[in-house]
Amino acid sequence: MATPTVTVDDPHVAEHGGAHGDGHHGAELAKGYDGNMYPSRKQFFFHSSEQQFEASKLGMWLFLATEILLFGGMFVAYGIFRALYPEVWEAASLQLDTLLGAANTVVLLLSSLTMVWAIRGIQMDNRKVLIGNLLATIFLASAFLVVKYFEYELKFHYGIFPGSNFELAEDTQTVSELSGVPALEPIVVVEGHAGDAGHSEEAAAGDGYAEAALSEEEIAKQEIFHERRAGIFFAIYYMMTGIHAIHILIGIVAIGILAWKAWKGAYSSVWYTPVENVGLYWHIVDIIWIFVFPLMYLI
Amino acid sequence: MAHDSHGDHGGHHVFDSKILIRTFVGLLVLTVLTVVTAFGERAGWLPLGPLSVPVALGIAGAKAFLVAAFFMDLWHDRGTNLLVFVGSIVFVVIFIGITWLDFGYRGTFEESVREPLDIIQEQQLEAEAANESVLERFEAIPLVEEADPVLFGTEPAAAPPEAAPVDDAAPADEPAATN
Repeated sequence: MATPTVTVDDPHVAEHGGAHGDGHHGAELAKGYDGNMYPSRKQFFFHSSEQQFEASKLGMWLFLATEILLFGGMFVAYGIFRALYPEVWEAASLQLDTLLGAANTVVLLLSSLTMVWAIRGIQMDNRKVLIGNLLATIFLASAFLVVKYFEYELKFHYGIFPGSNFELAEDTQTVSELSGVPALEPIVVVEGHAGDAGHSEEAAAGDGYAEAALSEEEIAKQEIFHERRAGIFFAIYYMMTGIHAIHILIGIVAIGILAWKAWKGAYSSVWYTPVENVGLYWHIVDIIWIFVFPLMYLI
Repeated sequence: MAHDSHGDHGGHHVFDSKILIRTFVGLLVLTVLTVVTAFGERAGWLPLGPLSVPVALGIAGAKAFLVAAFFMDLWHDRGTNLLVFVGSIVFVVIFIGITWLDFGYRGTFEESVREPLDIIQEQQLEAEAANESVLERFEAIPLVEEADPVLFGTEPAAAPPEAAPVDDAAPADEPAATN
């Protein structure tokens, strides 16, 4: 459009373009934010760099829509089972560490800020800001995963597994109790759970089997919390946070590639489409966590 | 300065640092708010009751709006991306809504269909049994007899009204039983 594009060595390019059939390697230059000329990387089938950028971004948004629908399915599963067993859901939710979840939320929000700050850096042709913020984003994303690892570790320690062994021993304190918040009953091992006979490697499970003679009342009390329904909660918890964590991992790889290419000088204010698109991806991962966090940890 | 280059290189909007920082602060405040709400609810000094889920989701929605509008720059973007984003959310809402209609009302319509077959038939049987027991009592106790000496002088006048309810009840029973 109004972009002042200058063609280097006009006749040469005309030949070249015909021979190779692609204008990919920056034959065209455009004036950047800082006034220097940078390769526009405009493909011949786009009307303008602007159009190319917007088309690429729209493609990214379409991908993000599929991401929203992917997690949407899991939110639906969450919602249905929450509606069916609300009290089990609330009890199981207390097994999660709210403060760790909140810390992770802040970490992820901060990483979103560094990501957008990186984009702002390259929009102003400041490569140092770009690379620095990309690395900061990678660091924060890694911190998120480390916290996540400790969360999983803690749950494994209590015997909450993605599979069948989700129950806790009866006297296990919940995380909420440890942090001084009144909690509901811990989820307990129920005796007569047929599938667990083979899985008796857990100390927690061993404790559960000691109590062979439960009174009717105790069994009735446990019925509320144990069942296999708390297992549904934790299955959904592991699935949602796990798939989210995989997205974080993919994001780390993508941002790492960006940082590497940025270091080699691939991006400028004229052409930074990959940075923009990875940024969008990163923000959608953030938005998904924004919804996962209250649903899992808070309510 | 930013505006000059804005025109120069074809409309890439440079993020405003102030807006970004404000957005981030807003996100932090909302995060603290939702965590405090949850803790308050657990400790009991903030009884939200059924509002708990809507409040948490509302705060999450506000945060998502901030991220989408200012970090993902939908606020300054062209409409197409917003359409895709909102469209995907609409479909998720349809997904949740229709699944909820299924689960929320599962069994309701079945029962209303099944009622004539099971429950009403059972009610009919019960009504018949009740009628029979009542009939016995009608035969045993002459209800009108106590009023008779004061109001009417004649004894035989009491007999027809006693027989009348028996006759009324019996035909009423029969169509129900045959049905």
